[in-house]
Amino acid sequence: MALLEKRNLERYRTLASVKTNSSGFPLYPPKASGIKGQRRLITSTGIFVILAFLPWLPILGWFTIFNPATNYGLGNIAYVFAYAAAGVGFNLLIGYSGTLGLAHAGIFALGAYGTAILSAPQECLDYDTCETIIRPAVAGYGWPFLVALPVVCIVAALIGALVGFPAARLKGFYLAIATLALGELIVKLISLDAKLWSGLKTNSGTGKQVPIFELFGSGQLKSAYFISLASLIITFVAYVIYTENRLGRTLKAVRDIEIATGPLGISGTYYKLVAFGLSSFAAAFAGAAWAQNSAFVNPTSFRTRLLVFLLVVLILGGLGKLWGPLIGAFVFVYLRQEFQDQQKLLFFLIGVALMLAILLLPEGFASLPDRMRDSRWVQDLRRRFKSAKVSS
Amino acid sequence: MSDLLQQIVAGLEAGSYYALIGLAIVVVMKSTDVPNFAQAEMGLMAAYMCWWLADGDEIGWPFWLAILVGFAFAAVFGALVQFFLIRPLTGLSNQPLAILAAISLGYALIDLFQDNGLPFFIDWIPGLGGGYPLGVSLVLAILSVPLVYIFMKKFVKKMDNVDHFPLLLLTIGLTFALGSLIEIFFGNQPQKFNTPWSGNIFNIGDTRIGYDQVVSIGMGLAIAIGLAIFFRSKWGVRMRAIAEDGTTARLLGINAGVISLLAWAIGGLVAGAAMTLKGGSTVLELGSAEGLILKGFIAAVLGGFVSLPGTFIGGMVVGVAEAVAGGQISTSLQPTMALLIVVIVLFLYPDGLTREAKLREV
Amino acid sequence: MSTQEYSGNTSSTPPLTLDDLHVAFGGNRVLEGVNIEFAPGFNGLIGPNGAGKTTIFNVLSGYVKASSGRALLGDTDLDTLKQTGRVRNGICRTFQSPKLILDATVMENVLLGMHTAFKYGHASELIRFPAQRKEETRAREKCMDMLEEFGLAEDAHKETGDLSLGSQKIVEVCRALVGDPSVLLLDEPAAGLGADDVTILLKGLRRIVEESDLCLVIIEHDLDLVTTMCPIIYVLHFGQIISQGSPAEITSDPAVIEAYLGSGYAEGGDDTQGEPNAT
Repeated sequence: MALLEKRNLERYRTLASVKTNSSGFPLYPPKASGIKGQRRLITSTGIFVILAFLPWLPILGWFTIFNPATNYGLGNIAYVFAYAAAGVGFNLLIGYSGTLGLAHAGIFALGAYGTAILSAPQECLDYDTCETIIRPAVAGYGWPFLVALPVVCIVAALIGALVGFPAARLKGFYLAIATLALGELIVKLISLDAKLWSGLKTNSGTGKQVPIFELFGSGQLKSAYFISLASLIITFVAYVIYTENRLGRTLKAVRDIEIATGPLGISGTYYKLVAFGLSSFAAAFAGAAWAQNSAFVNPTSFRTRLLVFLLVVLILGGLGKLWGPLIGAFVFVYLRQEFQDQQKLLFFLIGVALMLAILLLPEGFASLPDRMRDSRWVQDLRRRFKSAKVSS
Repeated sequence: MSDLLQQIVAGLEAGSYYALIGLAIVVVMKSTDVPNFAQAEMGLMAAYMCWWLADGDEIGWPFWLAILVGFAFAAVFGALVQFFLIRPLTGLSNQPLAILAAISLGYALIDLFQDNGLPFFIDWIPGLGGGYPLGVSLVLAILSVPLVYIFMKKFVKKMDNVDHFPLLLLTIGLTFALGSLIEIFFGNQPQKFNTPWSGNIFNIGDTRIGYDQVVSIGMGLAIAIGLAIFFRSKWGVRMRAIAEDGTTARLLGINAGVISLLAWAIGGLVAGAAMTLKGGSTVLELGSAEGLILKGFIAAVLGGFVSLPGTFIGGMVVGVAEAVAGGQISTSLQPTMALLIVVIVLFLYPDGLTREAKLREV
Repeated sequence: MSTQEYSGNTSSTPPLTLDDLHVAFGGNRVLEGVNIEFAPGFNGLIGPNGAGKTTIFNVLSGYVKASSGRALLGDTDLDTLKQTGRVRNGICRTFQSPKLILDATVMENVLLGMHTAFKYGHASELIRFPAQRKEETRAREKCMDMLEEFGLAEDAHKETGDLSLGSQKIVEVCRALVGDPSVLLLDEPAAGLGADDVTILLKGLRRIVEESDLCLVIIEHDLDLVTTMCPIIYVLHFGQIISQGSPAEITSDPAVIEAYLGSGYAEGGDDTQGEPNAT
């Protein structure tokens, strides 16, 4: 008994409420006590709170592109949130479960179109009797947006799982091509206008206006902002919870030791489908938020280029890193807006940025702090700096 | 009936482009294990080069000379891309990349400093904003060159055994960059590339067939056969050896570096031929590569990424299926046809159509 | 053939049976008519490389289908079970080179072994109601106890990649054991382990066998180890069982000596006069 007590004391100086087994070994990795142990929770909550109040905070005024006081800046930040939310889902799929599912852009489109058509007012359901000359409004099924959103997300999750079905049998690169094709297929189907989408009216060409949902009457832009922020927060929280717990372990197992998962009772196929479903939920949510922000949907906005943008967001920020998607989204939207009038230069920069990201920072910007800390060069500098200080 | 024949011919023409891009992809993949998403874009650059040499305002070379030089450019460009961009990622030297990056950044910086001064995050400090005079810009740029070189040499990872995914992303980045370069150099107006046989048509019954269509299909076939012959030759066998087992091949004295350059040169050449033919037959425009690359990959998939005949036939099948389905059944089916084909094929044959296909897992 | 005596077992069905098992890959016949009734306790499976030992494991764990014959887990024909369903029926295995998630902690890797024991689905992970949290805690307790048994409790929260190969193999054994199997297949568990690790491994295994009548089948090449550990040893050669019995019996069996041991072994390890193997 005395031995046990000694071991207990030795290990649990800091916290009294640590879960241990009968001999006193901790069941969870020991965390520092109090505030320090909750560092990540506090940082994340802090960041999100700031973001939530951003429209009313007088900061970032100098940063034209992201100045929350202007409609322009606020809209851009909302775009960042939407891309980041999609990126978090993408991260789960590619970074965490190692599955190359490239249909993300298609699901994003589903979210945007789906919520648009379901929440559009029921002015005109019979395509043939409606006029198609300049109409500011669209016609749909008249569902409340907050009902349409979860429904669309769940349906998208199911479709995503369906898209992921080939993942059961395809490996790596082939899976990438198959899912890429499926994603494109989805976007092509969406743009088969008349037959399938008789509810949504044309604004000009193939574009459709999106009915904006106003949150508590706070104005269109702010509503879009908060919906985008909500999409980010929800996907972020879900991502963190899942990756820290059993689902995360299982997905890592499917990624790293798939061959051994069978005898453990883990069905690789099932979990890949789960990864597809969850990431699609996020993509659809993000797509819906994006549509609210842009107020306009057009099939060409969702073609392969969007997928590449999402990949850029993910890679620039860091595959598998928690804040990767948000950082990547900021960088991406910044670049896109900064060089808006020089489209040629923009795409050149994006291309070069992507190439540099692969060559230099395979783990993305988010890994910069770690990499700098770990690099021998920096450690050398530090040592020399320390010895210089000592000797002076 | 004439409609059907017309569609088949159109399908064969489109199919030969898909097939050629697919063949280029497979050659590069087979020998250097890189899924080159930028293959079509590289070809487009060469096609624009041919056009510019022949039809462009400044230079009016004879058609065949332009083609010759343009195709040579395609081959050289392909090799250059491999040399500078792909090498660091395959465990070989990253020095060329470092040098290239340093010089190009230095060059770009001159302009940048002149126009914008320092980047956005410090330009609101009073006094540092705005453009700098040429002399200052020049000095700053020259100072940055060695810094960039050292930076690149130190930080560009020389990774051996890189997975397909990062390489795919790299080539996607390359696609974007090349697309913009093409726009910068050649403008964004669609161009008509005039060939000696442009516009000529002949008739079989009610069907009108353009000479350019025949040329495309014929060239496609010729190139495919040429590749097949090449791979039986000395160099071709070496290329296959490197692809199958790089280490052993190197131990046998086969120079992987030269082989890789050669493979990418061939890939560039074939892709360049494809895009030039397309430009001559239809129109030369910026977006053409974007549409073709996925179909090229689909053709490659149908060939299992290994079989050249399979890829060729695959591309043709996709082209014809698209055209016929689009014409006979419904126009809205056309854009989706290729996608449907690849999805169905991969579903039925998860390992691709050829047993030998060995793709590394990403 | 000597049978193993142990306490507690009253059932007459052997926990694991191979019934006239044949396995062929194309024209290559890997296993021919293998008949074994494994008893609870330590069972050794030895033989030259390529004899088919790991193939037996692969059939049992669902990677390979037998071309004829059956494998029975208790009374259940394994053919009727999908690979993912076998662990629920109580059969677990380890691999020659450990299959672990290198950037996850040891605890997380061992927890994978309890995957099928979790009742609450993944949706509940988001809500985390008390019963679900308790389930996770109990699972972790069990894993920690197991790690403690094998001396790895201190490493529980280290990154698995940081451990030595020997420790990693023990982690894999722990992972297999937390599923409470009735049959455990160990593929060369001692290869790459230092003497200390082997002692700890054996001690832990012995205790578990005593407590739960676990049926262990161990593929090993270290003959001293196998003869010490296992009261029954089966010798496999070219896909057929050429001998089975107690260590003394098989080491003096001329067929075994010729095929695998080398004539030096029977003389106590001195084979300066030994004839080369006839294989």
